[in-house]
Amino acid sequence: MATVGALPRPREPAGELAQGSPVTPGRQLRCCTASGCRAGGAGPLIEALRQAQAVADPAANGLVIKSVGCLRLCSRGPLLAWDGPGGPALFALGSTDPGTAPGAAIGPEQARALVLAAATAPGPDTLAALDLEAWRPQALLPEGSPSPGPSPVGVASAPPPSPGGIGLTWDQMDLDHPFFALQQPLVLLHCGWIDPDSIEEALALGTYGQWRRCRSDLSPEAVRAMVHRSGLRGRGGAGYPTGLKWDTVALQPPGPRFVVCNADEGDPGAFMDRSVLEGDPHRLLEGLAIAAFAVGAESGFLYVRAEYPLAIERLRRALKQAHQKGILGPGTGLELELRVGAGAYVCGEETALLQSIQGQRGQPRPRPPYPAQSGLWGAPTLINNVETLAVVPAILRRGAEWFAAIGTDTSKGTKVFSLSGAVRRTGLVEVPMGTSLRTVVETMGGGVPAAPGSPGGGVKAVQTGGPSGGCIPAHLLDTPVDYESLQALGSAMGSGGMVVVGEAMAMPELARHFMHFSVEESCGKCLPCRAGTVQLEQLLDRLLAGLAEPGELDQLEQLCRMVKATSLCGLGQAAPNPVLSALRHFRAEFLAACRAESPRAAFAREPFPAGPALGPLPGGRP
Amino acid sequence: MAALTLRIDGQAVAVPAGSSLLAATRLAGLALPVLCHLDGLTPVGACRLCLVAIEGQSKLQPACTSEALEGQVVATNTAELRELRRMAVELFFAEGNHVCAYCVASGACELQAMAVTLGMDHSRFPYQYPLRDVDASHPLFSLDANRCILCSRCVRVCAELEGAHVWDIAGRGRHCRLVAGLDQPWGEVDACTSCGQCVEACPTGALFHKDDSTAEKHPHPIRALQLRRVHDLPPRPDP
Amino acid sequence: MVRGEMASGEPVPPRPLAQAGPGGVGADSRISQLVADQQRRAEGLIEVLHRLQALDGYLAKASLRQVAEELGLPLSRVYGVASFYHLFRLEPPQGHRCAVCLGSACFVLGASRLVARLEQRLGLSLEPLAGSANGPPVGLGLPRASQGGQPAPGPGAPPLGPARHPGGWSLEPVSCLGACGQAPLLVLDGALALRLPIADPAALEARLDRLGLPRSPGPQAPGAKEPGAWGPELGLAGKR
Ligand SMILES: Cc1cc2nc3c(=O)[nH]c(=O)nc-3n(C[C@H](O)[C@H](O)[C@H](O)COP(=O)(O)O)c2cc1C
Ligand code: SF4
Ligand code: SF4
Ligand code: SF4
Ligand code: FES
Ligand code: FES
Ligand code: FES
Repeated sequence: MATVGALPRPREPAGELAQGSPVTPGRQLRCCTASGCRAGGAGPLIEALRQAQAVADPAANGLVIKSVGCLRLCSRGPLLAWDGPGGPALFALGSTDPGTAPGAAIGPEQARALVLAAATAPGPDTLAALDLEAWRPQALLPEGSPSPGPSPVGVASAPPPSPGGIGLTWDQMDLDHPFFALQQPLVLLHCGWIDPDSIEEALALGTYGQWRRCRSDLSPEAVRAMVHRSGLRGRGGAGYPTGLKWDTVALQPPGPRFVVCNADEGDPGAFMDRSVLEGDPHRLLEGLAIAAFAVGAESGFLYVRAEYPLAIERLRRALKQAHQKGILGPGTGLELELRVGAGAYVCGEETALLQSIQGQRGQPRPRPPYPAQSGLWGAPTLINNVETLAVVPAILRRGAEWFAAIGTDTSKGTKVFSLSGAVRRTGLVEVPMGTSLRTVVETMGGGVPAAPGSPGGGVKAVQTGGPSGGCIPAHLLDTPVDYESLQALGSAMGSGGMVVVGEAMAMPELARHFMHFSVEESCGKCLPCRAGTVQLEQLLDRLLAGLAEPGELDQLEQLCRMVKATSLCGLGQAAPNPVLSALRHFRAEFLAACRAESPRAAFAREPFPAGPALGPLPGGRP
Repeated sequence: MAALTLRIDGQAVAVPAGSSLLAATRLAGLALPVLCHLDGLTPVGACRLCLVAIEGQSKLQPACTSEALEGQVVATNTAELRELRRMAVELFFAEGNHVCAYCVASGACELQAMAVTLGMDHSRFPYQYPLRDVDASHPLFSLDANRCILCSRCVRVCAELEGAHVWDIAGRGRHCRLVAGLDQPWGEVDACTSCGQCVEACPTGALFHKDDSTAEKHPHPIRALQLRRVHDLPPRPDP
Repeated sequence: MVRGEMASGEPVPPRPLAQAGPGGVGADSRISQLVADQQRRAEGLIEVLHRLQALDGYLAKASLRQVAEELGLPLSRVYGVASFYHLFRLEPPQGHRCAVCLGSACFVLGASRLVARLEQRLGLSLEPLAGSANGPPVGLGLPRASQGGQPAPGPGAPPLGPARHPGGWSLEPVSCLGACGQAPLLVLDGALALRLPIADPAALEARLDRLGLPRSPGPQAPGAKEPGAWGPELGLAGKR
């Protein structure tokens, strides 16, 4: 039986999710078990709740406890959404010991109380009033008394440390807050509602309907025309028009073709694609199937980074279920295979990704030929990002014009961002393209809280586009988020990571951080990126150590331009961006970091560069 | 074979369809610096020295891997390109340990020649002085990794022409290095036929004959002919 | 087009070398099975390596040799792949692994200060070994000002880096564990330690003590705790 409730605040008339729909409105607890909340102990938590239900009185039987994908406000995880009279409502479990994951600390009595309240509460307020502390194991012990043994490490293992327990907090989240209210879920429409491990729930909400429609009613040309008209552009970073790419692949000379879903999401601080994989994998599979249909491919791959074990597990299960149902696999005209990366950021680059799928070193090759012309085993290959593919079923269902009406002139539809860093509320937001950075970071994210003991908080900059992007200073926060506006400021949309930087962070240091990332992730094939990024990092090191002269900033910029202009692939070409954009918007900080004294004096003082660290020479000579 | 025409540095040139821009440039009688390219081997576009500016394209393209197209207008020798190449050669010199005065290939080294051609007499970037090994385990040849510029010509010549695939690049980024077999001493790799083609293919003094000493590595007359035979084959169909 | 043919621009797949075949003398039957599971296709190499590492904890050279032989791949090609990807380990794992997240979100919240503390406690350097064979450049010998002033080794100093800590600890960076909401954090033997109080040095020391991290590089290393119940489930044990 599929069980789905109502949307938090459906801005969409999401009929299929409305309460009272055939897929059961009943009382349910939706526990987020995606990676963010899992880090907060969601695994042990849902286990404890299920156990409590099994032993609780029959009153709790009517309650459905299910595991769902990301509920958006990851910083407060583990989150529990409740559906019932007056619902839905969202609750956060917290612990008074910052070092303990709340989900792992809940005691059996507390779990029982929670389940009973969820099963019987006449409304959200009653549930919100639940006092978990009253059920705390040995609640008589004073707060914060040391727990015995070395046990409660970061996250204690289940069973929870019982004597003394850990203080738990239970707060209701305000779903009318802009963080939730301004979201327009399209890609994430079902994420947080359905059990990602249940194909029945996905089917009950119409997933795979458009795939079926494609095969029965639509021609590949019609599908491509629709994607064309929708104005959809790639969400993997470059923003290439998706319809155009599909046409290129479809119009290659006859022969085999492949489709590939790029789920290598490597930008640090980005977790949008993961949320789709973990929250609604069937939607992605449907999108990929439609893409395959549109370009005439009969086999395809999903390339997922190995650092996402949960996403891999859920995707694998989803694929198996779709095979069992006869939706994908033999006889359906499409075979999909999952491939797992092995820790290489550069494998997100499309030609490197193809090499990796073929079991090679993930080193990019020059384009053209583009993968659309010559990809896997030399055949035309369509590569799209997770989010790009996941939005396709919605375009087919609601129509290209409906989609094109969302967003701006050049950037259509919605975009999912992962908000992280120094911001107050971190998590996932999906908003129409063109929403201003200020809306996302300040109105929704709540800006940067003041650090204890430091004067005032406040946003200093927002870093978008990861290591290929740049930072946007606070005074430009009214910039609308679309491909062109961000590029004009020397940053990039990237895949959708938004890392908020507070006043405490020095921009040259942040620039060095990203350069270090590029040094570590460079594949080493081409010279400018392999050797140039190393030199850039050292120049920044000199600067941070106060050894650089103002003139060295020119050298820094010159080398940045060289690496950008001559590197083989997007990694090297974009590696200087964080430095260039920091220089552009925060040059004063770089100048301030330079040494002021006369070069001659400094030279005399400066230590000679250290030689290689040699051990003592043989024979005992120094 | 169909021919097509394009303009390179203001000069009109007709080339067979399917030629690379590098071949076209050479047909036009112009020189283009190359390091990772060797006629007869699959081009990889790694050293970035052969970058050219194609009118209407914002990105510079490597001539060795790009197909010449009808009507293209190409510049190979602008001031900007010269400066970029010079910086690239500086990065090469700073990245490894190149002491030309003691090098077996001095006088016959393509990297050295490149520096001379581009007027690079010192590197503006700090030398990195990496600690690298010498592998003298092979009875006939040696590898001095200090001079390796990771062009992968040896890897390709051994895999594509000799079919032995003794070499490969291991590691990644600045940790990249040339390895034989499972990171073994060269002399212990059974697959090596001691054909010496990798030594001939190496543009620097990284791979050399054991009996050569300073400035004695010279192109082997017969090997060069063998390699050239391969490159006289019709151009590889570019996929 | 035949499967197994390489995309252009890369070396043609080599012909099989000495073919040991499954069950050859000294062959490890587990590896033969892993290779068979991939239908002996060369493209299955990465998957085979993943599974092999799951069995053994790392990729031993003898195992790599067998993989190469059974997949019909040159040794250097297999070594090239195994050494390219960060998640593959070519050395047996250390006793205890401490991994610090240096993703952007954690970095913005001060992870570099955490690194400086851990480096001091463990006497290890997070940066790869300076001056290792063909390793990273020695650089300018600068103090790592950006990371709290732990000085780089001068000439003659014993190299820092993946040298073994007497208590068997290793210190490594990871890039974003997707727990950015609970940043900054580290992973100890597969279990996450969240929201480390970096702004409050005393509290940070107390937390690190509780986590079982040695206070100094000495050999005393108090027994680290059990792996967290759900850490391995997150797969963190496999992160670089
Ligand atoms: C260094 C580098 C890393 C990349 N990483 C990713 C990634 O993690 N995920 C992704 O979808 N695209 C990534 N891309 C972009 C892909 O190359 C490619 O443009 C994209 O997958 C195309 O899909 P789209 O048209 O749907 O955006 C990366 C590009 C570069 C140069
Ligand atoms: S730019 Fe960097 S990542 Fe890309 S091919 Fe060159 S070395 Fe590899
Ligand atoms: S001598 Fe011949 S077989 Fe041996 S490594 Fe060199 S090219 Fe390969
Ligand atoms: S040894 Fe010579 S041919 Fe081989 S990669 Fe190094 S420089 Fe190139
Ligand atoms: S992971 Fe649970 S709310 Fe995002
Ligand atoms: S010769 Fe063209 S890039 Fe090296
Ligand atoms: S940046 Fe540390 S968990 Fe994401």
